[in-house]
Amino acid sequence: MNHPYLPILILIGIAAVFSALFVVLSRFVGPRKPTPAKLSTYECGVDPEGTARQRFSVHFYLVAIVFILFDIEAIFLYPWAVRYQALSAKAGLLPLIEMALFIAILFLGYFYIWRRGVLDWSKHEERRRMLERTGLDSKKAA
Amino acid sequence: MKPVTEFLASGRFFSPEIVLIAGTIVLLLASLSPKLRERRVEISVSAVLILLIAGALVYLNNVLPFQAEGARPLYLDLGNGNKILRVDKMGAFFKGLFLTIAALGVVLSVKSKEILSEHYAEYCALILSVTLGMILMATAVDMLMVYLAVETVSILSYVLAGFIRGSIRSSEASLKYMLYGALASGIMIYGMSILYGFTGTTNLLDIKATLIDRNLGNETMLVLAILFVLAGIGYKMAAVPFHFWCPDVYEGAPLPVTAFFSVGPKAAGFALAIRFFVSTLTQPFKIGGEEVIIPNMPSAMVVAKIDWVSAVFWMSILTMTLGNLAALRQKNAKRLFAYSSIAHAGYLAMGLTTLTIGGLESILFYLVVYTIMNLGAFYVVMLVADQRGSDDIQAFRGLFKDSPWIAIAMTMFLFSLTGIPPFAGFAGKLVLFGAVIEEAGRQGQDRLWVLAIIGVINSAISLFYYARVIRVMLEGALGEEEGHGHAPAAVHRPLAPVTVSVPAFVLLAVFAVPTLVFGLVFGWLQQLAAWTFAYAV
Repeated sequence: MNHPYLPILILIGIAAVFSALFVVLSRFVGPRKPTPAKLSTYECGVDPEGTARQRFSVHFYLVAIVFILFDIEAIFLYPWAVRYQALSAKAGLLPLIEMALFIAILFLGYFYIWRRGVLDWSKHEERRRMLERTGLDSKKAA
Repeated sequence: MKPVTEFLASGRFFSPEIVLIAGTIVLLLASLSPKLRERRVEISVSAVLILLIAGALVYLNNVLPFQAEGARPLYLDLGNGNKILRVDKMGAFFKGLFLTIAALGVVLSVKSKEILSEHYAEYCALILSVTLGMILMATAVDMLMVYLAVETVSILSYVLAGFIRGSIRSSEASLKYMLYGALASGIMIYGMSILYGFTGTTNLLDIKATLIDRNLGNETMLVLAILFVLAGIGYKMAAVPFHFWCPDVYEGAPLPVTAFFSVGPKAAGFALAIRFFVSTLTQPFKIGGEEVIIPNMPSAMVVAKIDWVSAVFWMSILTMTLGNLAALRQKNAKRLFAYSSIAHAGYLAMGLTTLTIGGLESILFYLVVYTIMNLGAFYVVMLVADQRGSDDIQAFRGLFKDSPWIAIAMTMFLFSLTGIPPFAGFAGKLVLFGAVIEEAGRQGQDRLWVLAIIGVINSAISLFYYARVIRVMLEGALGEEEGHGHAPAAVHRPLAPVTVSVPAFVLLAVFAVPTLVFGLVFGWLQQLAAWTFAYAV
């Protein structure tokens, strides 16, 4: 019974029991006075509007991916900046040149997506309005 | 930390990769200009030129330094002693092979109708970066770098598989490839994390040293970790039971991409398998402090008694048998060649199980031969599919009468894939089976006989489905009285004749001539493979 992972197993057991316990307790002990406002979907305090199960523009995902890419790559700057003095003491200007190269490649990527029209909202907006006019938009149909 | 000059000097060994990266960026920028990106010939010439420059740099910086007497493999590190890439002869061989495959892949796609002109520059950039990933797979000696390289190849392959915009089949191929790839690489990195847990290092060389030192025999978790990594590598090789993605992806992807997939990532998978299993998990003799794999090893000494050889042994048998049996029933040429490429992964895996230098050499030999004959076969499928609008085997009907040159070339490729003399495939199988049988004669290696016999039976089975394609091509070419017996043949609507332009004819010859010549003169290829593993002893 002296396995090193035994405390973790016990902790998992306790966690499972406690979470089950509180769910069951609030079901039986807590007062239930439902109102339409309480039962509605929580959406940051704003009244929910329409269904959430509609088609998103693929543009949304594209922008999300681009955001994540640049977000993560920007994080690389932090450890570099923190360690910069120690790095430059040993290798002179090399760390600076390396980071300049990194950012240059990052900007090439930015240039690419910009020129391919990923950041071009108006074109998509125009298309959406056109779809709405012709009544082909699935959102309006629902 | 090393002095800066030394750090920069080691970049010399990395110059082919740097050229590939720069080339990718140049082609991506070219794709931004509407005028530039549609000039297919110019774009592909520059892509091939980039690959040639990289190839010249491989020769200058990765081959020549190792010609000297007593030259030893080098390691590239990040300046902190953490070795990530190994520069050696095997790496140079695979770099050369991958660059050749990429160049042929680019040339194959110039006239392809499936790849739209407006995306052609991006297509070439993707091929270049996949090549970079494959090169990293073949040279990485750190598990993190291995994983990164595998992901580079995989993620770009998903994009390439879905390159036919608006095609449901192509999108399906891309999605299936991605879902399966995500699972396989997830399993692989889980196995790697267990290995790291056991050894406390991600470096393959240190893992080997630790495993030998601590003599971790028969730890269940360790065996499981090795099997998990095998799953990731097997997925790249398209070996059973990790092959499910293969037929669907090959069928849906554009034909030049399918041709590229069937040789490039598969060869990279074998390079990684040699690095991971043979270099890391096999204990070679030590001569003068230098670890070498030497010929005529008495019996395989496997690090820490981890019997990965049995796993590869069964994988090899299953892969070639299932690949060949499934190919028998295919009606679509792309699916037929998908299963045929699975079967060839099985033959290649035989070389790993011998654990001799001869076995490893035969893998390299067979990869070269397989690349040429398989790309050739896919090129013929592409010519037929583009002009007849179908990649079913029935689309090959009457090819001998309509365009005898294509039919003759296809017959050569198919006979070569079966392993019939005097074609290159025969030489490949001769060397491969020779290595297995030679080792089978040794004490305690009796099961290799089983492997060799199953391999030969499988070659016989493969003749059946390859010959079926030839029979379809012969239909209508053997005179009218032949046709009367098969009434349904007359019902088919006539197919458009397949014409061959001069460049296409030259490209066909590029594949067909070596298929014949390598089958007759293959001593030099054997020497090349022998050079790859011959280190100064």
